[in-house]
Amino acid sequence: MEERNMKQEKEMEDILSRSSLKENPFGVPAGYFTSMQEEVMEKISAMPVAQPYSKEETEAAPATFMTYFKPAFAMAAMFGLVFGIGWGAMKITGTYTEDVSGNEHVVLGDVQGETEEEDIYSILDITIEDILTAENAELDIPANPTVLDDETIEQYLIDTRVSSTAIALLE
Amino acid sequence: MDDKKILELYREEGKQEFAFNLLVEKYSERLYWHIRKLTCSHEDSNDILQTSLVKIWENLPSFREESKLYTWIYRIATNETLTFLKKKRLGAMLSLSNYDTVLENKLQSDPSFNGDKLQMALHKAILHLPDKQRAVFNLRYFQELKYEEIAEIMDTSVGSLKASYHHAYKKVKEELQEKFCD
Repeated sequence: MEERNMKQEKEMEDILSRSSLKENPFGVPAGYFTSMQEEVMEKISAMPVAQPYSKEETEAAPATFMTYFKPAFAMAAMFGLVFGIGWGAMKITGTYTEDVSGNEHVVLGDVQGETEEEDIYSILDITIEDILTAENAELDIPANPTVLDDETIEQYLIDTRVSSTAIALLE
Repeated sequence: MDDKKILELYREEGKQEFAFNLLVEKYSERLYWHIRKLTCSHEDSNDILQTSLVKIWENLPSFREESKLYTWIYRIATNETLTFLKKKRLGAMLSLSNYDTVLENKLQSDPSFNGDKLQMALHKAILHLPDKQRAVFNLRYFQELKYEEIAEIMDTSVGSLKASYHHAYKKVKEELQEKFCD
């Protein structure tokens, strides 16, 4: 089987190396190449003639101060431009402010539209303590809960049938 | 006339068109067949060839002889053809069809094809290769260019090009073997 495959492969390689197989089987309309060349030459005649490159033009110009420092200047200018755009945008949107003492600071909260919880309470004219007292009253929790000693806790666990192992673990 | 002399002539004042005409005469036929084998259509090949020649004319002033003139010319024509095929494939994909089938139909219904059964099978097998591999295969197998020259045209390394050609050759051989050796 393998021998047969190798034989077929060899046979196909011989076929592929035949020069007749490399011959061009396609055709073109009669006189195509002549007319195509004329058409192309007509097209380029209508186009402007660019000056061909000459070898003298490519000789490197002598290096100057600007040759070396131009990229650094360009980079610095780019940083400046980006910083300027950012600063300008913050100034326009009001996110950049200066207080009376001259200290500069950026206000992000307003930009993001965030409102503090305390701001809401101040609008409603109530305090956090008021809310906690109301919640405790609802849950029947004394305002000043007394501190429970260990004995009371142990008795509570016995009453509520918590296993002795669990109590021992707690101790 | 060799390429160097054509370029020298091109750089002489007022002789650009004459020199370019020599270039067109020398290369247009070879370029046409290279494009035709990739597109399987005379009309498409004609359009691509004319666009490529105009591009060569436009870019010739900036040609700095860093590569051989004919590999540079081939590169422009090959890139133009590959871009054309890419667009066609994308169009076919959007219309939910397969461009390989379109190419195969073009080949089968080409009235100017005068090859035998084996040649038809060979060209069909080549159509089943990816476009870039097809370009490499055609340049090596039909035009018998050197790997170094094809590498310059395809802008790739000789190593990867050799691997690509051998892979393509193997695929073509296997397809023909299936058809003719059973």
